[in-house]
Amino acid sequence: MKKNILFIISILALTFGSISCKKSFLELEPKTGQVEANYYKTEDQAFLAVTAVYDAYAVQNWEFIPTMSDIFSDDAFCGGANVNDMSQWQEMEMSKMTPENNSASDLWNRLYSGIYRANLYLGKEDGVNWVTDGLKDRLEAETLFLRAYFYWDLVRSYGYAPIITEVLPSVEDYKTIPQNTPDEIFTQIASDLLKSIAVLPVHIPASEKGRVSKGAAQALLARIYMYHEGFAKPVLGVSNWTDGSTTIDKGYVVSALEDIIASGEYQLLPNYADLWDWENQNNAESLLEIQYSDKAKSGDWGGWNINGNFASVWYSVRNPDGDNDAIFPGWSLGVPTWSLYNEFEDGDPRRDATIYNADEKLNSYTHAFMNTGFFNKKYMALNAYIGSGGDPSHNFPRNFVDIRYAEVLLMAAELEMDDQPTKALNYFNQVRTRSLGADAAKSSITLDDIYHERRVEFGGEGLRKWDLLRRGQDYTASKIAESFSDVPAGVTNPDDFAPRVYDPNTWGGMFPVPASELRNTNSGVLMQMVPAYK
Amino acid sequence: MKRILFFLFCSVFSVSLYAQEISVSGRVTSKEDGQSLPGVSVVIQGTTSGTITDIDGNYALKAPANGTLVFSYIGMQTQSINVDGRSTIDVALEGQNVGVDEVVVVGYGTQKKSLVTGAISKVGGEELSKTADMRVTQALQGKTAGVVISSNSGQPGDNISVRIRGIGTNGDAEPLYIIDGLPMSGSGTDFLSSNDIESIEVLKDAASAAIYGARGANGVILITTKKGRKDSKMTVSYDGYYGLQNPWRKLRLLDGQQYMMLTNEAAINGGLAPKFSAEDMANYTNNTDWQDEMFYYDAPKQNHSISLTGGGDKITYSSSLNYFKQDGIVAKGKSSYEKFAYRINTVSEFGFMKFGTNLNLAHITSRGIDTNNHFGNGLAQAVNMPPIVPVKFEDGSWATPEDFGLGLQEITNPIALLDQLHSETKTNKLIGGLFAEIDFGKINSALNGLKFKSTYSGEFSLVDTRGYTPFYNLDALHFTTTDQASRSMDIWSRWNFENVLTYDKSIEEHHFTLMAGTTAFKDMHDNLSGSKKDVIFNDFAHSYIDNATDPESMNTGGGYSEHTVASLFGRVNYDFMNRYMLTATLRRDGSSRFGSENKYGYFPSVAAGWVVSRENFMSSASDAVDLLKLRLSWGQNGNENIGDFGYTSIIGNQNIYYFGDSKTQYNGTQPTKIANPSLKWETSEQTNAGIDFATLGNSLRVTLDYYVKTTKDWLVTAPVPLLVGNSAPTINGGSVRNSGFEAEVSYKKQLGKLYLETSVNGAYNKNEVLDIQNSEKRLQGGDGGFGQSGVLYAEVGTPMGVFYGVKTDGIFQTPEEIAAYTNADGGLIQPKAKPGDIKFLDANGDGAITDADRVSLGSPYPDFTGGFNLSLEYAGFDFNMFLYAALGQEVYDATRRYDMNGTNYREDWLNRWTGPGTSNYYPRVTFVDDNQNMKTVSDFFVHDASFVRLRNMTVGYTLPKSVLDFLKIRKLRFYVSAENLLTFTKYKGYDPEIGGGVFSNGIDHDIYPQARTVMGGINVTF
Repeated sequence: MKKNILFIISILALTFGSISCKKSFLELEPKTGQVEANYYKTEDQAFLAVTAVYDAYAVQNWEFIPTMSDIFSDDAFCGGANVNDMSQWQEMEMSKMTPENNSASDLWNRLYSGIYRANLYLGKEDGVNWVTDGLKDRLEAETLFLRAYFYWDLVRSYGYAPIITEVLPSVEDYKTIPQNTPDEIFTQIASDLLKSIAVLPVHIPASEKGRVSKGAAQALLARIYMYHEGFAKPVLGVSNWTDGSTTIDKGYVVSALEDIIASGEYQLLPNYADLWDWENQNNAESLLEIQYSDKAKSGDWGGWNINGNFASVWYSVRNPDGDNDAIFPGWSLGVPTWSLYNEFEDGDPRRDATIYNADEKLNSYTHAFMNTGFFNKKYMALNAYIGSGGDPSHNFPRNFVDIRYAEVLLMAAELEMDDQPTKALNYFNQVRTRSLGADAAKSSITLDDIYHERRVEFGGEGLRKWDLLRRGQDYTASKIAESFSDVPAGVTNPDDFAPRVYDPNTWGGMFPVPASELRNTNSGVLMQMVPAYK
Repeated sequence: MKRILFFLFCSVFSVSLYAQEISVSGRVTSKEDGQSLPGVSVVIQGTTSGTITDIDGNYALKAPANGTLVFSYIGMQTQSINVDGRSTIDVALEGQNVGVDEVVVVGYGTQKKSLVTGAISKVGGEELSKTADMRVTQALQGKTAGVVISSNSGQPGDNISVRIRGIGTNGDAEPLYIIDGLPMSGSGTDFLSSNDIESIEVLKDAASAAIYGARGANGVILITTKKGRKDSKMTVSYDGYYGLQNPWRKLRLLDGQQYMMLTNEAAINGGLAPKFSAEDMANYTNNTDWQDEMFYYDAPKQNHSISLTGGGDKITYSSSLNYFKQDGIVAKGKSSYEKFAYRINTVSEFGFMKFGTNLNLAHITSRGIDTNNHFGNGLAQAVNMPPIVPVKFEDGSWATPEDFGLGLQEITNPIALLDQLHSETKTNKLIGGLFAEIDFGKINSALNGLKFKSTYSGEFSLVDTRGYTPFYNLDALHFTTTDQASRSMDIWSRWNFENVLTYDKSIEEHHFTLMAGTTAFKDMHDNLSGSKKDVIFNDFAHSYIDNATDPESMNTGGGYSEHTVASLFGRVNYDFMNRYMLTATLRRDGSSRFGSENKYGYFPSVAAGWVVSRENFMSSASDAVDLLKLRLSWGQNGNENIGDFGYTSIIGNQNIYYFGDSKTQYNGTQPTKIANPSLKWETSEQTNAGIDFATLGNSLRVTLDYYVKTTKDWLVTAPVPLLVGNSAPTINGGSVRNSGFEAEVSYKKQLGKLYLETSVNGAYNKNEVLDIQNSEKRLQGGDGGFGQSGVLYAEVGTPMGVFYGVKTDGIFQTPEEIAAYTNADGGLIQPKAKPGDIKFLDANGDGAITDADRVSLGSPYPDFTGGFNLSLEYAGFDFNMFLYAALGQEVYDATRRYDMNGTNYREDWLNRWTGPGTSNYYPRVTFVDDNQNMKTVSDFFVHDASFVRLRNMTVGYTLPKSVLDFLKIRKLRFYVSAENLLTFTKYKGYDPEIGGGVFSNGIDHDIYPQARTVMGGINVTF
């Protein structure tokens, strides 16, 4: 009997013991995904970390800056299904934004997410086991370029915003981080941008298309300079642009532009329409493109996982019927104005490359809100390029051309117009005669000529708003008003075009700091600095 | 092993009979009604020999003159009677539930109810089977005080929310379910049928739940399935019902003409041209009742169960086969639930060992639509659809709002959308376990009372969803470019290994039970999914990925996650003279969800009880007082119900970008969220005081409880600023206190031929947030109407979730009123308002209406919940009625898409403002809502949602014994039953009962309502 009891007790001891002692039972490692502590060690991992920073530049979904910029300008109306469709953009177009505006918070979110990813990488790069010469410097320069880009979007969209240059130890630290002035943000941009220009390669081989080049960084510098000079100085009251040691003045920028031109890396394509051929992306004229593809088969309406060009479906026609079924049905947002249509000179081939005239091309389509009959032809969704998986709306493999060589030439022309008129004229005519022929070359140019040329050259590319603003708030207001007075008398939907009055208190259509951000930071740390939202 | 067998052998045959035998006979009747009981097992104690009563309840057998007869019968209390040399012994058996000393299942054991020191509510299986709910837990609604049960929706098979003693956490507030020892989530209980339940015990206080330590903070629901009874004849029974379900309410919406009138008015008020010309108004005579199109009237619901139970001396068994099918009252053919389930429980004794097995198999086929989503496919579409749009045009094609010049974004013809929806989920579940118990007392009497039980149980569920998206083109937002076949499979599996040693010892009047045990638990989730486009067939039947042809479109996903818990626990129960009781427990849990800093949590509890009525000084009152017991308990529980790896950062790889001429995809990486290595257990601490009282011969019983439950170190995903740049970490960030009273009163009495049983229970709970560990001391979440975020809110001093918005003060009747509504500087507070717009209160006095003016506007949680049960039996007829009341809660009405111009209105909007004095509640209608009437989160949307519902009413008739004897069946009952027959509420939406998570509870996006069901059923026992 005793033996049996001992036997049973030993079984008990075994079962109890085996469970209570086995500590490893509770120490699980994730089976999908790696742990941060073991990551950021190899060059591949470093490259993928920088890829995530690029991703924050690309995934603009509901707050795509070029589209929002055009809607705000005299080039496009908001459109959409009805006056409440995409109300966040309608509010922006009508200067009626509130801090609850979804685009205001989505944009803020994306930019700070990008800044976080950049800061995280910069904090981790020293722990990487570097093998390849120069790789660390190049990835760092790319990261700095992208961070500068995020701050540029912040300063032109919000004016005042906190500068964060490292991942802070605790999330609580972000609740007290002070709001910086536009001046300070411009300085931060200059610092990152100048560092990246010094390192970035001039030439990007075919296998690396999409990565940032020196030329892209120099062109961005010029673009920011022109806004800084034309709008930030008079309206935001900032001082000269500097990173603290180097002052970025006109001379500095002109030499950067000349540098790009002299590099020989970029050429105008002979035929303007070829720029918008979906088979001809990352071409010789392109300095910077947001890379979009259908490969990820995205299907996420919530937001962060759209890896195709989402704008394509916004721009497209509602229920198109005709034109050999070329057009993928879209939502008719950001519709071009008559004002833009009328800007083109007779016979300018750029008009038909820029504007799709649905009334002429289609048998029928749904006339949605603010229907002009015009659609953004450069980016509208095409049936031929429906993605292979996921939600077709999210997977149009159409890159967005952010900076192209024609802009470099026209910026150089504008900046050198007074000091180097011959050079400026040459740059100007290169762009103009490509589309209109040698006969159209001008013998002298004014600022208005450049503005006209920019408008027809870059229609639908999101640049117009910033061109308007850097000639002042009055100029902007009058041009926006004109786009409403250009509505033809006979339209069937005149009520849709009640004029949008430009409100100078929005500082050129800046956004409010998101309401959630004011709620989630300590009281008084963040404030609405744009007068319209005070 | 040989030796064990030897012991078995010994123990079976060691008791031999050498005493003198005499003949004993008698009649067994039921004490309640005096009817004779056939089939009662009569066994001589300590032997296997015995007999069974005949059809008239008579028995006869030979028994030792000094022996004991054991009379047992299903549903009756077993009686043991000494023969004492008598030749005639008549016995009257009592119903099982009558005695005070019924046994209550507690964690890892059972306990006499009179000795229980915690707050445990028991609901018997019989009670549960009275309602026809698919989920057994739903049948608990209103049956026990302090347990708030609300349906997430009326969709067949949908989950329900269970809250025990209020919300104690900002996270998952669902209790832990233990089904025959296996820990489960609430959604995992679907394989059970209410006919299979022996009892459900709800452990409400910490002392009772503390033995489940880290997982008992939200309370524990113990479900015990039926087992066979020893020495009982085989019983076969059939239970079945068939019923028809209908919506109990339709919303009153505008008809076509009214709709066009109001839409035109809104356009004109917005400064736009009218949407419909006089000609349109004359032409559009169509008047579609979209609700009628969406509802499935007379949707059938049926249930059939056959069960078989019985047992011999050594083996007992209980098995059942169940078929359940329910069609939803919304979206005919697209919302349904069908279940086959099989279950078997057996227990066999083997000398000093006892072995048990239980096995459940379930095969569930379900289809569903969105139940409470204003972007989704469901009633939200029907309510917002313009009535002028027909379902189909004459040529048979679908009509959409866009065909009528009304682009309504997500809102389109819901019938057309449902026609494109092809998805079916098949779930196959296997849940079962084995246990072995050693009774050491049977080996050596010196070890009497020492038992060891080892249980291994597990679940394996395969959830297989197959879908087909056809090629269709409804309007600008609702179309596909090609068809697609999709499939996803999930395997949810878990196992639990539990070893418990119990020692039960009485020394004179001292009685101890010591228990110690260990458990190890693991759950795992595997998933795999894929889809492919261009299917060679155009129907759901052929929607398999192999039939799809576009190789480029292939899409796959898959992963795995796991979670483990290991625990050590012990308990001491002590009582002296059955009068003074003391219980203490301690549990240590380790969980894989925490980092090494806080891997283990310790959870103690103590409880004491005093049965005052057993004191000598109470002997004079013993006629009046059958039981008076005082209870007091304190304990701590934990919660680890958060996602895995919250303490560390996982590198995610979905930050995709492309490089190179051919756009090679690179999966960029970043941590999926900010890590918090010091994450620790959420702890709930609860003190409970209670009184149990019984009088009038135990026919009137009262239980009262008062509790204070404080939950601290919440696992919070604190709202962090977007500046952080990544998802917020999980932190331990706050505490909340629930305190309240619970009362249960029951009365049962035989009044001549009438048997009456009635009970009332009620609970009042006060919920107050004590601390939130983020700098703004606030949590916020929940979406109202489109663009209305943060509708629910919690801060220090408020309940855990209150509606949070701007208060309104009627309607501006005149421009003068707007002009007079100024701030200190004389500036207009609502500069964009026009007459007819809502006047908002500037709560913070800053002279403008902003987010900062939001204040608490009521809570989605009831202050009071209660139930009322009434059962009557008379001459074979039985009547049962059950009322449920939830009072004091509010609902946020987000049923209309105010963000779109052209959606339909409720009829109430005919009372809108049209000029001074016309309305002070409904503002003017307008397409251009500059005043943000409908975008501002305000009390305009918050409504009283108190309700009282007649959950169930049943009338049954049991055939008299004379007829049954003739038919050779033991019991035959027919009944007619109605569920949700009446609902009294001021709320005007589909259903005032809107369950959900902490930040979605009580927000109505046109919820899929619960059905009103009328059914007929039959119970037969052979």
